[in-house]
Amino acid sequence: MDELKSLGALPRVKAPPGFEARVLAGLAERTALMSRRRRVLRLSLAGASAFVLVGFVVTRLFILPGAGPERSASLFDAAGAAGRMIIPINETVDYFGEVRAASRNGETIYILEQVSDVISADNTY
Amino acid sequence: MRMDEQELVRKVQGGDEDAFAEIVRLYKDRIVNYLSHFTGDYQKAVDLSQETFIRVYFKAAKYKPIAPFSSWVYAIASNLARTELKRDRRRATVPLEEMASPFESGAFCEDKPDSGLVRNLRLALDGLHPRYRVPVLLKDVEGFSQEEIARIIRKPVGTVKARISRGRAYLKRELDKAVIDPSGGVAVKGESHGRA
Repeated sequence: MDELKSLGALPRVKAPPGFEARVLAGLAERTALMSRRRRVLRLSLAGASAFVLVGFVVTRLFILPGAGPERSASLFDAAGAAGRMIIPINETVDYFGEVRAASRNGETIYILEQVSDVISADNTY
Repeated sequence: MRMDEQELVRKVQGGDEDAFAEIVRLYKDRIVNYLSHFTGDYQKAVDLSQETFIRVYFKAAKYKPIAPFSSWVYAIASNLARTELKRDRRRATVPLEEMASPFESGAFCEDKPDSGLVRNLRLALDGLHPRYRVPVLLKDVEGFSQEEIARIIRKPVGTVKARISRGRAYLKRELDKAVIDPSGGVAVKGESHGRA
């Protein structure tokens, strides 16, 4: 094992001259890089959020314009001009209660199907 | 842990670069020496040491003074060295004989080494698996206690003892195989690529 004792006597090497300066330069470079990355990430997040917001507004205004209150108002105006009367009916259905009741009565099958092509707000009576 | 060192670490945690420079000054030679023996490549050891200190700066906030600061710095250096070794294995390898040894060139060496013995030790260390190389180097070269090594590699003291013992046994076996010829060169009896 005498040779193993030589492990402790292995020649010791030192850091090269200017090592501290290199470390500090590396540190400054890394700090700048991290700061740049953080800025890019922040800008990317802001850009993505803005894109989603613009997409939502464009979709709402230009692609799906029909379901808003403006359309209902125009229908009322058209019906008024034609001498007809429109009675808006908002029908609330407690589907949760219906289904709960159905679970007590195993024989009953409820089939919910749409009987009109238009949405309920536009039904005319 | 010395009081002034603790104070330095506290300042580094607050982003003080002067305190960080002082820590680099205190540890640079020890870390370069340790990594140089670990990797067998002085230039790589210098690069890894640089990266070690940069990590020390950025991870300083995570350091808790329950363990000596030196253990923490060596733990970072050891992890980096192990990762680098794994990366090296995936790359093409260069035969050791073709590489210039920093020990032979005498660059930044404190002592004049016995080239035959050093070369034998170097070859044996290169063949030693990092799992055993780290504790053996920390114990026999850097002079850490088994408890400190256990903290550095985050293993029980019993595991550290076993690894040091197995690592030393492997080195002894490899050194026994080596024959130093009269011209100072080294011949190795048989191939010894096995890991301890």
